[in-house]
Amino acid sequence: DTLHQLGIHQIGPLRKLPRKDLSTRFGNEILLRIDQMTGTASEPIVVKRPTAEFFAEQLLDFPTSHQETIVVILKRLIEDICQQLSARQQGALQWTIRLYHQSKVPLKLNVSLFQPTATVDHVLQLAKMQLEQALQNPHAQRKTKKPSRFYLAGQTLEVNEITISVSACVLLAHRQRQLFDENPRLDRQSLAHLINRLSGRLGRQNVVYPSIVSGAQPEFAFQWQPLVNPYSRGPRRTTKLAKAVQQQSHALARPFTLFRPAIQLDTEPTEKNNSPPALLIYADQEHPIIRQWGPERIETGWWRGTTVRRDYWRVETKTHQQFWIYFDLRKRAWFLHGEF
Amino acid sequence: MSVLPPYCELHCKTNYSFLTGASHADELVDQAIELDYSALAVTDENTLAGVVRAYSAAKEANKILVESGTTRQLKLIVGAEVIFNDAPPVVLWATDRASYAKLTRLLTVGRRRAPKGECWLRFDDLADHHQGLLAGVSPPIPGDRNRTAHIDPSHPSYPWYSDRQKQTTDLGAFYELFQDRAYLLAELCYGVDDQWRIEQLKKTSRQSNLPLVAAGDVMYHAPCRLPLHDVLTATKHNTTVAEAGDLLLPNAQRHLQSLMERQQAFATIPEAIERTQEIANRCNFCLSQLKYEYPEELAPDGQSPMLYLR
Repeated sequence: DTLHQLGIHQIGPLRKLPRKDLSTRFGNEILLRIDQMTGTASEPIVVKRPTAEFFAEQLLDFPTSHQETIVVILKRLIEDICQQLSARQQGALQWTIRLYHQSKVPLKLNVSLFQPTATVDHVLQLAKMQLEQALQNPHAQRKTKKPSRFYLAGQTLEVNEITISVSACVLLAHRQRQLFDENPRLDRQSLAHLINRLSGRLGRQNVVYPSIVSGAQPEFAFQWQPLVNPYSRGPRRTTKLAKAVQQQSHALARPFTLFRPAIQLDTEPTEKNNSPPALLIYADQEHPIIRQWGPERIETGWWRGTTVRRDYWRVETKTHQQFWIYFDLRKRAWFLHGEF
Repeated sequence: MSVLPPYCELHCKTNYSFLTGASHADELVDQAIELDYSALAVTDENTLAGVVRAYSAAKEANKILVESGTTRQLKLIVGAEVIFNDAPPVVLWATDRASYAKLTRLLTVGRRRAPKGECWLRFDDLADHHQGLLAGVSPPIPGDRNRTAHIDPSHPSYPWYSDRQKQTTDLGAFYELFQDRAYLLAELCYGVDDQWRIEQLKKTSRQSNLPLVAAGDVMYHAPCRLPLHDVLTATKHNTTVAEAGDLLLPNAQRHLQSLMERQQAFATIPEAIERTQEIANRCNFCLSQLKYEYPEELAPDGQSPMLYLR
């Protein structure tokens, strides 16, 4: 561009030019980039985290070509993935279904969506349509009177494995459930009526809301409180002390999902407890650990009985899932406590 | 086994830090000897009251060490943690008799200004009272709760503690005043992410020109004092242990730790451990240097006090 025409190919001569003239000739962008290069101006870098992909598979003991059977299995797999997705409040845009059969190349179905979803029926319907389209073979249909069997290029398709993987997952915008009115602010009165009715019918203790409790021990980080509380008068007011206590520091260092109770891991206790295990075995799956943060020690709760003594680690697995695990210094065992 | 580098604890409170310290001075001194510390600084909150007990305990313990035939001795460093109303808390260590006088005078100024039990000091007060003292500044770290902050908004320290921006920019002033006598306290206690904390400390150290020195923010001699410390914290904030929540420390690491534990914690910044020794060597004040000194100025010029009183 212009700089090249002026014979400036390297940074050195460029930096020798007067700054003022540079900006009038080339705009402020160039000065900003020079400053960022030399460290005079800061350049915030947005961290890109690879999103975890979800995957489900089913091996068939007996290869089948029966369409209904395959649809049933598909449904189960989609349900499995939707469950994983909704645990993270995510929806997927790209669904890839692979049907493995006797020939080497699997039959691949791509379900791409306009909007991300985690709704089973919706995806299943689209997948079924794709399946039928993919298998629509005029020759095959003419030859047979049983459309419920799969044919491809005149050959019966014996499906022996089905896998589904999803990518392009995004956080679903939280939708107000239909139980309440579309716009809850406009309808406080009826919400209050509903709460009152539910509390009356189900019992006060069964209509609750979560509230944050401060303290070091993670499993006591929140508690359920009845929405209707005869002991509190008027709206809850936070005292100054409570407010000061609520300023939870390092809030982002805590996972959103906490397993209750913590899941004991089959991992062997390491010799030294100042490093986490290299491999996490959870739900019969092996998760090699590639990154770790910690340990963070928590020793508290002696007034509830025994003191908890734990070393917490945040670990990242090969599939970029981040888990929160701890080594119980009392029981000498590893536990999985949460997922980020 | 390799020889561990010598370590001395430079930030340690006794039970004379009211409702904060949970161990007696003699327990701390004995534990420090047990762990092979080269020196121990007693730095109570805005007071020198704990120093006397620690001095007699150290004298006693050192006598036993001599009798047992070892050449090892525990050096006692006299200091105080000064909590300012408009600056981060600073640990001050006395290097000689003159600087000890400056420290006592500074605390007197603060105590006189405040209601009983409190000590109100401003950073400006240091101008007349910093000579000869070494300083260890506790830097504010993002995400940390300021444990020295008052909850009461009418307290004179409230404006400074509620202004995050101010807290991080004030550190340069310490270098200007103390020059090479100021350090930055690096205190690692198995927090949320100690590696990240070290990076923050390094960054602050570069920006403020203050070298990092390892410390433990010790409040009790052994981890078994955690329950007592929790009870004290709850009492201090006029609440119960179960309701105190985040006011309680999340673990029992504010005790005198073994040399091995200290070395592990500061493995990436070994120079911070070495500097504890440097500070210990710079401090050469002992309470034995104090004796009764009668004021001279009460008698008119040319007369000895004795003569004037007659």
